Amino acid sequence: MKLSDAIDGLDDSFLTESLEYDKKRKEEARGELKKHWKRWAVLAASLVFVLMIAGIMVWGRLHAQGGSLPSDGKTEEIVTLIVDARTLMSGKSGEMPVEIKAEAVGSEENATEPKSRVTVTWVYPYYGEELVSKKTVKEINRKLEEDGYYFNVRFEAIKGSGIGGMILDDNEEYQKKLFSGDGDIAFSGFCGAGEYVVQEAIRDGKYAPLEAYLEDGTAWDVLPEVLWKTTSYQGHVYFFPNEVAQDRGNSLYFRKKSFSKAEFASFDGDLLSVEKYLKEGKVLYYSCSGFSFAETFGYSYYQGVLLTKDGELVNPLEEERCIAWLQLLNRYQDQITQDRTANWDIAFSRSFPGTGYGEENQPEGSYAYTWKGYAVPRLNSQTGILASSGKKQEAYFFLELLRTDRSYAELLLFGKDAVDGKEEKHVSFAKQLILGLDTGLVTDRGNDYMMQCFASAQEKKEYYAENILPSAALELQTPEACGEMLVVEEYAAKLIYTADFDAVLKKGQKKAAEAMKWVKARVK
Amino acid sequence: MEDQEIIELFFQRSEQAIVELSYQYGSMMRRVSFGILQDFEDAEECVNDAYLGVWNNIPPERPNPLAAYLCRITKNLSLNRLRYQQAKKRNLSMERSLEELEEIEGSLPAAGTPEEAWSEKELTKAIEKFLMGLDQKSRILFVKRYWFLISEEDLADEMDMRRNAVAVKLFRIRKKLKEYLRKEGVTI
Repeated sequence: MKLSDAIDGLDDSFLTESLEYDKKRKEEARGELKKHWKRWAVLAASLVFVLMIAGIMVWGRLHAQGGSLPSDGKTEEIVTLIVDARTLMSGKSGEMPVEIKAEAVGSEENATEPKSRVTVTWVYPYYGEELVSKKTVKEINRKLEEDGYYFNVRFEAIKGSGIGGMILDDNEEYQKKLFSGDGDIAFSGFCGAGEYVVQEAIRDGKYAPLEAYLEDGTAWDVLPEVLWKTTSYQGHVYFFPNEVAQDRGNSLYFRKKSFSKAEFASFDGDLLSVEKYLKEGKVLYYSCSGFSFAETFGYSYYQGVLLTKDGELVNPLEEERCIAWLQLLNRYQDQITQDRTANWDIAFSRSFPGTGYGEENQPEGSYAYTWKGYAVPRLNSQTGILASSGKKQEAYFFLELLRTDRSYAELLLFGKDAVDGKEEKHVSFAKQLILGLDTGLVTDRGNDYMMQCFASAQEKKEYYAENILPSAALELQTPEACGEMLVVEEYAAKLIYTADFDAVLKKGQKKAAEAMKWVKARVK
Repeated sequence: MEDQEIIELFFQRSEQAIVELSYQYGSMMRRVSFGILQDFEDAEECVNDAYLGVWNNIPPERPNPLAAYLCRITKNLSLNRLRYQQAKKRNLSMERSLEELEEIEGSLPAAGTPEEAWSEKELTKAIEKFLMGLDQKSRILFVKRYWFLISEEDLADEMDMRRNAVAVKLFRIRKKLKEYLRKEGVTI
């Protein structure tokens, strides 16, 4: 049975939907064309009219001078007359528009003169639920006014074409709506590995660099410096780092019931030697995607390519140690599990420390061997300020407030009713992701959390200093090239479970080599 | 002219039916055929064959929706012609699209016995269920690529996307489909 045959049998409604889409698109294109021609027709008519008026004025002026044709030096005067005529027609002064700069915003105590209240709009994708209730928004605005801040906030969810208006992963549609609206604070979108619309938007000048605001503000000090690097692009910081994209060190856990302390102590950190420790129980391979293990070999892994410490691009499917590791996993494929509750002996993981779900960081009854992780660029699913905003300073100030003033962060994360004790405090993952607040720093945890909670900004900074290194990928400023390399991840996953390792590896190497050529031609 | 009016013309055996059909759906049918044959002349001939097929089938058939019916006839005729010509010509884009699907097939577990293997109909239903869970744009992208067999380059043009974005999006859909089919326990 072939998949293509099964697809051939799809219900007519799927074909109709596709055909309707084409039809609608053509109609839209026709409409655009009509509008375009209409615009040109109006412009042409206006031009003719303006030239007529200018002609009359020139004729009048010449007539008053005795009807002679303009001598040398008169040309400029005629041009001025035409400009005057244009000004007359448009009702404008003809001066270049002056950029309106946002005024610095603080509490009214610091203000030198009274300012009228402005509204900051926060735009994000609709996620199938109301992220911030009207009641909560009202309370935030009441509090802002009470505390003497002269801006309000409003929240606007962009609905998509998916089921129930959800965006799902239709990021392009989201981006289009985002940039055609009048938002101030913006969620950068859900685009995943290999999609680079955020980088494109930054290059198109859609997001405002934040350095000037960060220099004057206090948000910079709340987060580890390396995290700010992850949301920077071509030397500028564009987003507030999202808590959900928290970095982790890597760990190898030996369960105490299966290993003695001496056995654990004999492990020298060479990941490839782990084979001799494998026993009857399962091997838990938890949240280890791509080539994260390669960090033990001193590489950092980013979207298909391995980077050496010096930033050299290498192909994981050609690296001896990477291949040896995949062979090892392949040999033990029957023992590998991704079920944390399985009866495992050894666990590879980068997200056990602090994964949470109410558990201790380290699995109970285990020895942990840890090594550092690398922070990689993250521009997707972040929160920034749109360059088109006329309220950048206010927008920044609100984002900073949410990271430095616990009462505002709690209101936004839990909602008014929870803060008032009328319902349980609950942090949804959607809120953590889309609003991007650092819940561990400024709030009491509710009953649902996924991230490691740090008691203070200092504690978080210390964890990062101890466990996380900046990856060479942070300097890699043309990451779109790596989209081609997704084939590497695909083959890495295949290689773990294939019955014919060599053949699949060969095929993967061939594909990856082609992609590498593409990458190398673009990445400097 | 509305679809039902065109069908009525066929029922009256009026040759005007072909003229209206060609006016209303000719370019769509040529596009379907060209996507497979990659040759304008061949596509034109196939579309003419399709008109004849429709003339022979209506009546007694009363297809609804008409557009999807025309696409199916055109696709089948084009595929037949392609098979006939295969020794001479290759449609790389279509081959690539089929290869992409074969990669998914390759990752699915084989059934122990032929009886255990999923039937084509069951698999179609599973794919339909999967497609219903996608957002509209992804669904259309999938149908265009794997039903209409449109090349990534043309898809980029039709969907107003960059080619790389099309490739990546399709890659992600295939990955999701693979996971979905495995989860559903599909065996082939």
